[in-house]
Amino acid sequence: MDLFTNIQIGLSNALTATNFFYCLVGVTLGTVVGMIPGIGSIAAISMLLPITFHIEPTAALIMLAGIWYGTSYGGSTASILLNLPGTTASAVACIDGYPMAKNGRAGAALLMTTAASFIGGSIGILLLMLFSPMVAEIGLGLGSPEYFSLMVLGLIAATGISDGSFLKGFAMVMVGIIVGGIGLDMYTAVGRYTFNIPELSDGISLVALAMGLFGVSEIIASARQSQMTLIDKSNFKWKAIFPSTQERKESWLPIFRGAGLGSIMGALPGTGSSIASFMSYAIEKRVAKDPSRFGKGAIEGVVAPEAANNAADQTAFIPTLSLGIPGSATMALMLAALIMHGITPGPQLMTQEPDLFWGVVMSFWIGNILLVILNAPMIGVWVKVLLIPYHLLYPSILVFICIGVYTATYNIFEIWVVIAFGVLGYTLRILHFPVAPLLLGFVLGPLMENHFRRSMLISRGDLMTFIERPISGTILAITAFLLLWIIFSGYRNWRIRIAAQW
Amino acid sequence: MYNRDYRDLIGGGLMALLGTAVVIYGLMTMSVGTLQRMGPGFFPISAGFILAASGSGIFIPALFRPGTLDAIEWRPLITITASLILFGLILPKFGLVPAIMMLVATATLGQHKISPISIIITSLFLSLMSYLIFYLGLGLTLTMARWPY
Repeated sequence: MDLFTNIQIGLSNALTATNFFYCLVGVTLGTVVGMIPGIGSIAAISMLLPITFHIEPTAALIMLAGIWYGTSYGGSTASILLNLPGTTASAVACIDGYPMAKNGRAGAALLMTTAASFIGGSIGILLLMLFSPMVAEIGLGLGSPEYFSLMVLGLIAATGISDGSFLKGFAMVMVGIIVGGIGLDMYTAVGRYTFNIPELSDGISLVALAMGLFGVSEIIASARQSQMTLIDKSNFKWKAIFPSTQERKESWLPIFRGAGLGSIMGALPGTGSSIASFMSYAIEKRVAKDPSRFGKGAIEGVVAPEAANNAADQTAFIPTLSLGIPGSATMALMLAALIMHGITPGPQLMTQEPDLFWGVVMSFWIGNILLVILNAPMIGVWVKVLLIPYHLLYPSILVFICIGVYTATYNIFEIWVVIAFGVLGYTLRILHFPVAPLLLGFVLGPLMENHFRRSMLISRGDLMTFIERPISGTILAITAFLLLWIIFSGYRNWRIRIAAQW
Repeated sequence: MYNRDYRDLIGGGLMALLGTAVVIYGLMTMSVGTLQRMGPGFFPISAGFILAASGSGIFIPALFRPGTLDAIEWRPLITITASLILFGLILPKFGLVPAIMMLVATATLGQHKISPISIIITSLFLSLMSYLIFYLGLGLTLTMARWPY
């Protein structure tokens, strides 16, 4: 099958009324969620996960993905207008976006970031369409040991490169693997850590875990914040919205540089859109003729990171959809949504479910176009969303969480699980443990165990199989280098800190 | 600022304890097997062991450095947890609308602005919305309200 047949299949599937509707719902929610500081895309996706039980898998994935890339569009809005980043990836947009808003160029900044997001997103989708079939082709030739090694690499990269202490992230991955192992063992049907509670023999549900960790704990931490915001309305008059010729000229190259960098970073495990946007900002600052303008409202500093994080959002789907290996916690949720519908993610997905794969990919085009329409002319409407008082918002989110988990299985037990993980999530927050690696470990744990056990059965218990097989060995060597680098840079930082104390 | 890093002492200590508990309980209830034929306990017990080791790795250096500790927001922690528990208790007996009202009322106590009118309006609005989205929109079976006695 060539690319054009696939595009045709995809478009006809993405443009059905139902799928179009869920795409619209996804991107609209994404925009709103991205703007509200505190609720990230992980929380929003986990809140909507139970709804996806009741709709078709294609529509479900289209909606969840829409939330994911929609938050990148919305995230920059809060950064530029309020200096409050709605998402981590858009924190960079504060550095130059907020000064632009203070100079009365908020409208222009928002319009240009929407354009940059669209261009970045489009380049990302193009690469996704071109490279996924190739990656899947390679993936078909890989066996269990390779998959196990790839997952180890993904987990180490995701915890090592992200912020905070590596050991803490690593501990969280282990907690995730342990929690993911609760339930009946898939080979022997022996109960593992079920404490004779019948509900636990099915395992902990991902929905309840994610909602507790990301929804409830977030709300507990932010319930007492009051949202007092002042926005200068004159920023949104027509003259202020339209970018000047100079601003447009200065933006083109940075947008393409950002998109290129973002595409690479998105596809690699561990480096998601946040790192892409920070790196792209650093690069723009270095190549600029006059770096002193940065931090005072340089348009390149706003558009390049924005293009980078949107491109990364799209290319992150390459390893997720073509190999079944998620590079981040959010991608792990996408995979889980597929697994819940009984679809095994992996290289065979593209050939077995071409409707689903290409439908979802083509819906990204529709979603990105919808986002431009939603964001550019309707900026004023979204700004009002920022003015909803949080004390009305959070009880509504709680109600939504409760109904969502309950209706996923019609068992009240799920609500108790949400509460337990909500309190756990809040405790981990207070103790500065990152929560996303826990989710990643939870989803990857059972898959890793399966591949590990299968490899050991085939190799008759010889651990060397992971090193002797060339591809698996190479992946593990990369992992070892990465691990050494993480330990070494941690040691160096520690030495510097100790030196500073003396 | 404390003279010891209590945040990491508590965090690392909890992880070390949790890991140890996972290993001990696992060894008591499951077989580990051999590498070739792994028992159900092999993977989780190994993970528990690594968790205990990383927990100790966080705990020990924290003994020798000063640190800070975040304040716990007790009020939202208690009210929001309570609101979810109440929802779980009321929903199966009395139905969705009373459960929503109770949740909204309890959860609102977590912050400073408390007004009975806004509680009533919010819970009625949310009841209507969940009726439209979940009952009519997604066709789920949900009892709106009932009197069990």
